Parts: sequence; structure tokens; C-alpha cells
Amino acid sequence: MTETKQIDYLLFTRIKRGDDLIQVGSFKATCDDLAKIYAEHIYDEEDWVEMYVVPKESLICLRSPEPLFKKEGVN
Amino acid sequence: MTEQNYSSLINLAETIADNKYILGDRLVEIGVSGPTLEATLSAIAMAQQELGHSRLIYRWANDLKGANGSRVEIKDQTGKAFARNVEISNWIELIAGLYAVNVAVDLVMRAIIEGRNTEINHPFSKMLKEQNDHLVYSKVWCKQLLNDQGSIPTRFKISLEKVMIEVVDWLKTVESDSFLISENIINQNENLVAKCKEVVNELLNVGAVSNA
Repeated sequence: MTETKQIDYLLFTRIKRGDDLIQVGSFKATCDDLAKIYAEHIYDEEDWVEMYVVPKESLICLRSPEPLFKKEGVN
Repeated sequence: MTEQNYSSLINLAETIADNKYILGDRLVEIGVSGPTLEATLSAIAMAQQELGHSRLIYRWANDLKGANGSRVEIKDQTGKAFARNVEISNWIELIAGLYAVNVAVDLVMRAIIEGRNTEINHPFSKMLKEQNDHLVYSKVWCKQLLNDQGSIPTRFKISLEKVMIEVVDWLKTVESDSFLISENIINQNENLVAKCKEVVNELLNVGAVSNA
């Protein structure tokens, strides 16, 4: 399997004008160009009025949930 | 204009359509077991588009022959597909074939679109956006294969070199075709071979990054 770095992308879409912008999926790609191609060709179930892909690492976290379980190997 | 007059244009159209037909088939057969889920799902979607393009171009070729294009049933390619594409049997060969064909076909289509002949009613303008998507997809995957481990980069270069032999031979016949030039279907000195080699060489030189 290739060693090229795989970036996590999130996909947001809006079905019709006035609808909420919602996350409909996520996938991995090596660059923005490939992410756009994947999004257009995989998520073609609707004629979306808007579609955005964003690298997951671009999300700015303000609050995240506490872990439910101890991590393995952590004392 | 008779079929005899248009024979080189019909040949060109059927070569493009045959290669798209074969690639559509290979994108399903080989793409269905691609290396990642995303690549597989995209390959299947692109297969539909390639087959759609080939249908449109076959219809156009039949119109040029004077037959009713919409009534002709397409059962198989006409025999003008590149042999390397017909023999595609794995992901590396699929990506090499998809990239080489899309680079060449894109150059030819744009040359015809820019040509001054307005009578031939080609269907190429409708498929440029989708074709560019296929080109981007295959180019990014070419770069991944060039930067992969083990024997993959070498195997990919060999596959690309082999299909490029047929691609370059075809582009030579297109850019030097006297009928296509005299009828302003393509401009003289279009230099399709040089442009194609420049694009592919840039991929091979820039796409392969030395392993740190």
C-alpha cells in the first residue's frame, strides 16, 4: 500500500436553497484536487445545490467529549 | 461530404471512442478491486462517464458515415483501441492507460474545438469537464504510484512507456493528416506529439519525489 500521506476530508452539502448545510460523509484523499473528484463521483445521489470538502485537520476544536474508556497502555 | 472524404475523421472518432469504450470496461473490471474504497467507487462512476462519451462519439462517427447514428447498436469496439489498453489486467496498467489516453484525447479534442471547421458538429465540448476530472484523478494516482514502495514505481513507468508508444504513433497520424489540416478541422503545426510528451515528462520528472 502506498506511503503517500492520506488526509481525512469531511464532506458538507446542501440539497436545496434554504436547507441546512449538513455533513454527509467523510473519506481519505492525498490532496484537495483528488478530494474534489472523490466527492463529486462518490456522493452523486442528490443534485446538491452546494458541496464543500474540508480537511478534518482544518476544524478548530473548542470543545471535545471526555473519553469513555481508558486508552490501552495508559496507567 | 461522403464517407470516403471523412474517412480520417471517422478513424479519429472511432479511435477515441474505442479507447473510451475499453477504458470504461476496464475501469469496472479492474477498478472494482481498487486499492482504496474511494478510488474504487470513483472508478465505477468514471466508467459510466467514459462509456457515455464513447456512445456519443460512435453516434457522431455514424452520422459522418451517413448512417442514422442514433439507431446503431454498439456491441463492441471497432478494433482501433490501443492494444495495451485492451490488455489492462491490474491497477497499475489501468492508471497508466487512463492517464495516457486522457492526455492525448484531451489534446486532440481541444485541437478540434479550436479548429475553424464549424460543419462537423463534433460532440467534444460536452465531455471536456468530465474528461478533465478523469485526467486529474489519473494524474494524482500516477504520482502516488511513482512514490510507492518496492517495484511499483518501476512497473508503473514501464506500463506508461508501453502505452505511450501507441499514443504517440496515433498522435503523429492525427497531427500530420492532410485532410484534417486542409479542412481546418485541426490547425497546421498543432504539435500534438510534443505537447503530449511534455505533459507526461513533467509528470515523470516532478511526480516522482526522491524517498527521504
